[in-house]
Amino acid sequence: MSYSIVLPLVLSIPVLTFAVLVLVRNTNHMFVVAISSNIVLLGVSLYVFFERMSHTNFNTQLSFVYMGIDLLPNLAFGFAADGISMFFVASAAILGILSLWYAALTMSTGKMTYYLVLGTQFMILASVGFVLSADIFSFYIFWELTIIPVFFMIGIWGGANRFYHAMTLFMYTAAGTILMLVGMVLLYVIYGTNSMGEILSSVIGRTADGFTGKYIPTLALMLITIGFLVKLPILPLHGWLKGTYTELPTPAVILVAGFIGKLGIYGLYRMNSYIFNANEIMSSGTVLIMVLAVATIIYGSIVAFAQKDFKSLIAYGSFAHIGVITLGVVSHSSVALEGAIYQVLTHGLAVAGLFIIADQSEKLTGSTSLRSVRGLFMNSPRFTFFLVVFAMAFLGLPPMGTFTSELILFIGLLGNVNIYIFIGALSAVFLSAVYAIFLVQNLIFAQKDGSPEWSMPLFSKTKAGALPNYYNKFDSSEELSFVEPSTTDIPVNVAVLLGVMGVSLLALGLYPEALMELIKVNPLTLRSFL
Amino acid sequence: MMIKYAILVLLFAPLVTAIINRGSVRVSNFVHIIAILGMGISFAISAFLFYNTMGVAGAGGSGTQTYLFHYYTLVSFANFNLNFSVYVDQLTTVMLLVVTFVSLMVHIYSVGYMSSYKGFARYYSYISFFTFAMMLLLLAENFLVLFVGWELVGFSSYLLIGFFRHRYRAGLAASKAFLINRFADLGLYTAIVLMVVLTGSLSYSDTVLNASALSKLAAMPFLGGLSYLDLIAFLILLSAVGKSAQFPLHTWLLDAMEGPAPISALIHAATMVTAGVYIIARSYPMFMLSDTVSIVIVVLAVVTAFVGATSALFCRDIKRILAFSTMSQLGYMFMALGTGYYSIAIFHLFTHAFFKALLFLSAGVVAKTLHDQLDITKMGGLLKRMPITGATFFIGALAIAGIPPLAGFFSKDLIVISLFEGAPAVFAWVSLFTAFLTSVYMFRLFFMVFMGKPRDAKLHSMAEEKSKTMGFVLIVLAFFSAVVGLLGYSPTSGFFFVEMLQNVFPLHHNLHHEGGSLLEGTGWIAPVSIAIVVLGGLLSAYLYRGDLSRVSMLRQRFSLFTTLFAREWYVDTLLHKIIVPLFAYLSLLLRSIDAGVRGLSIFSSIATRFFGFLFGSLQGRTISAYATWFVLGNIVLLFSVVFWS
Repeated sequence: MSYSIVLPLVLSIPVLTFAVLVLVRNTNHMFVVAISSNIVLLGVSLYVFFERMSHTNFNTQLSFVYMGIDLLPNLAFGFAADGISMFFVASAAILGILSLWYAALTMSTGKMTYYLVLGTQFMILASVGFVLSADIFSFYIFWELTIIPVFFMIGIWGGANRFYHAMTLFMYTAAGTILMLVGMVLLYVIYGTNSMGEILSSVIGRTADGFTGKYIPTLALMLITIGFLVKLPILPLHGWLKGTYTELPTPAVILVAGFIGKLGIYGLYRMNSYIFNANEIMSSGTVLIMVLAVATIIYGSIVAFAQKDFKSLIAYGSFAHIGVITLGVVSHSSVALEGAIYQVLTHGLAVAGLFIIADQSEKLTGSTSLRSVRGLFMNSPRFTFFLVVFAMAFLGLPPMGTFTSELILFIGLLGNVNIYIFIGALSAVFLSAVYAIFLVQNLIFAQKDGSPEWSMPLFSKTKAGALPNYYNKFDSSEELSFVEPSTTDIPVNVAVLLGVMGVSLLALGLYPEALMELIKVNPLTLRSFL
Repeated sequence: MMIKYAILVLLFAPLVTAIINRGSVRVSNFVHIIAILGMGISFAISAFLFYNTMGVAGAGGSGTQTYLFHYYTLVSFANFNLNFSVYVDQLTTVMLLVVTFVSLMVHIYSVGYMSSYKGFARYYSYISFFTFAMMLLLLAENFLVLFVGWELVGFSSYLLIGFFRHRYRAGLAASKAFLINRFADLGLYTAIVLMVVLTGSLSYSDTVLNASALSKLAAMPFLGGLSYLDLIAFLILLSAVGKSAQFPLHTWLLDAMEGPAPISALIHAATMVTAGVYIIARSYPMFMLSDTVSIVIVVLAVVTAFVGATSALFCRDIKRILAFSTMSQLGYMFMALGTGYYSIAIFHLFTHAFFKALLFLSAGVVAKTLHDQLDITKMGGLLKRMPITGATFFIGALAIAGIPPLAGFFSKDLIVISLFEGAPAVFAWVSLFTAFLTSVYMFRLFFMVFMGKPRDAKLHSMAEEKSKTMGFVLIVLAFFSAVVGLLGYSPTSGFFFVEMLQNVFPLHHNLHHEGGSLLEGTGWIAPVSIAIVVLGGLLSAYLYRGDLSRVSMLRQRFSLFTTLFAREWYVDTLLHKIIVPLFAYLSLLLRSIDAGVRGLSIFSSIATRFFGFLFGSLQGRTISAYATWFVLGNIVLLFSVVFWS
């Protein structure tokens, strides 16, 4: 099949679906339409993968298949794809399916469901458009579009502080995208084209061309990079993160935390990964990003440990992992890049699973607090099982996919980044275990001893029954909440969904070769650019 | 070809039973039958493999077979391929035999032990899963698959320590075990990354067993006088220290006793904690080349053995005492590893598995019948009510103390000899003194639990031996604890066990070094160590047979040492009073800072209001104001255009 047909097809699937969904009023029908269209999208993107593998020409070039629609002589909308774009399309489809599936299982029919499905589909549309864009203007426009549904969802369905959180998100992303827009306009003005391929090769080709040739493009790329870093987010720019992840409805947060946040990774890869190597100033800029990424890992993990709420713990844990992925993308290593891209999907699945479990915890006990006196879920075997499975996936226990991708990433990092940055990044392996294990412990184990006949060793430091809650020992300002243990369990249909996700994580870990082959960054093309 | 698939059956049979038992099939009448059946299959296959590989090299044996099978490619990138492969040699089969045998015994024992607890199916599912993970660790042919097994045994250990979810301490103990192990596993993780980058491979045959790869690593300077080889060896040692509960990362093992007693026998005594010994033995050429790390191993091992034995002296919890003893015995294994006598370490691992499993399972019978009472000062005189348990426990105590011809004597004696040969004599003397302490605390345990008068009449009246399966397992294990030592040395078979491992560890790492036998000139050690052990037993009898007045007098007189021992050398205190609070307070501090960072967006809103006010005031409310601004703006525009061009 010709690629000139495939790309419009890929993009038109979510667009048409969105158009159909607007018209359909019955939410059950909407779910059927949306989920099946995303399955088709997944199938098509996988098909393009396999075509790419067998198509030598596509494989050895930079794989930018440019098919533009000229508007003006120097302004064209163009779409292109390489293996990594298609990987992101497939990830969007997968997380979209999971998000809609969970919405279909848990949400009643009604106006909220209608708009939620529309918003979710809109986010899928925007992110597919974003990863397929080959010109900076559609790149920018789709980038902006992804966040709009999130803003409204928080503002309308969030908790008591929803307006504050929505505005925080808006201000952060607006600041980021405005800088990005300035950068893009600068690039367009300097090079007279909006094709990303041409701009990138011009930036690399003319490194010592005076003020406009050297400093302005560098400035522009820095501004664009800041835009990506806000969306990821990376350390000082994460103010919107907690509010957004805790206030969004769960089906939406599956897509946002699992995928939309990682579009910044794609942006860094697409716009900058070649330039980081080529341009001296940007190259030193990457060192700053790496330092921030390591700071994100350590800071995020430690803050995650002190969270009082299930969802914010996941938010900060996810934040710490984003640091690892960012490090993989900005390092000058194709292996680390592959690992990072692979981790986008595996980490997305793990985070999505944990958010579903958090939502179930809220449904079962009415609370997502981690400060309850008793193990809340001692009577809920399915809940416990999936909590442990996804917590282990979150901390990267082998042979989960998160472990495999993280290991590949670290293999790529060693020797390609400063040794202190490498050691700092390695701390993620241990620190992620700290908060994930305490998450499990707080939810499923008794927080006070339940069996009076239990004897203590003679020289134990504390007396039986007088053991304080582990957090309260240090944080006496917080009272334990007396939430009653749940007597029910996760419904079977949600368990099936979680089971599918768990099995996919396991499969991604046990047979990474299947996908790694497809996202392989060709070292030849990387080198030809250097 | 058949063996290739037999190994898969061996490996996956417990996993299948684990999944069945965890899944929908929850007919409690069949749970243990399914699990035991799966374990039985695995045990049969590993016995078969053992038989195939055990032939003594050089003696015309045809059975010195090793197997290497590739199944599929896990991952390949940038000239780097990693396969799911299996490597079976004598070391593997010895370990497999130990693991499957002890696991089978524990599976059978647990039928009686766990019957009164909730979560019978969950329990069986966990221990089958553990056995699967342990076998994966042993069968691996490269470090990545080994690491998968390594982490999964840690994970199943976590699940089993925390099996009793209603106990607060069980949850804490499980988390602690997982985190300390995870910290140590960073070593292996980093070593794997280093090996991939530096040697381009992870399989044993290309890295640790490959002379040219090792010399290449040894030639790369890392820091000071150390090479990358030292670094990798050290990182692997770090993981081994965590997994095998060596000082100072041992405290998780003591808390791990919160799990059910059979778990302590299987995981925290006989199998999982020996994984650290296994990984060092497996990559022994690397440790041979790294003198620095070998010295570190010996020092740590001697410290561990001594700390473990002294901490056990005044401990009152029966399982905790046994855990200290496990730690101490693992120290003995590490002594042999550090001095380069790898086959002796494996031999001690082999004998220790039997008698330590026996001791834990006996203790489990006692604890269960006394309704989870573990304090030995409340026991006493139980031998009459529990003759089988008491007798088997006594055999186990004799074996661990090192009374010939029971198992522990041979292996421990060889280790002491190897220390005299391969390390400064002071280490060997410390290890002999530790043997003395071992004898003291083991017989103390026996006397306080089984002999003398009952200290608590109510508890005493509860004690009985109900379960026949548990008794059966104890007798089987007692039999093996008594006889397996003879594999190590006997007039008829010679050094059978050590010679069997010749294929893995070539001659000069064995008893026959530099043209002579290890035993030459060391004949005096065996009588001395027997004398020391007997002395320890007598002292123990003197102190603990009757009332404990002599002990309390002793404790008052030497309060400095006894407090140190009773507080277990303050290692846990360091962790819980300093390290954990530091982390927790740092975490709370950063959380407050983070709230501030998130609050920064308030400033942007203030700034917006400020600029809104500023520029809003420029927007006049009258026509004249508009006109003024219009004219001014046009002037500015005009001037700028003029000056620009």
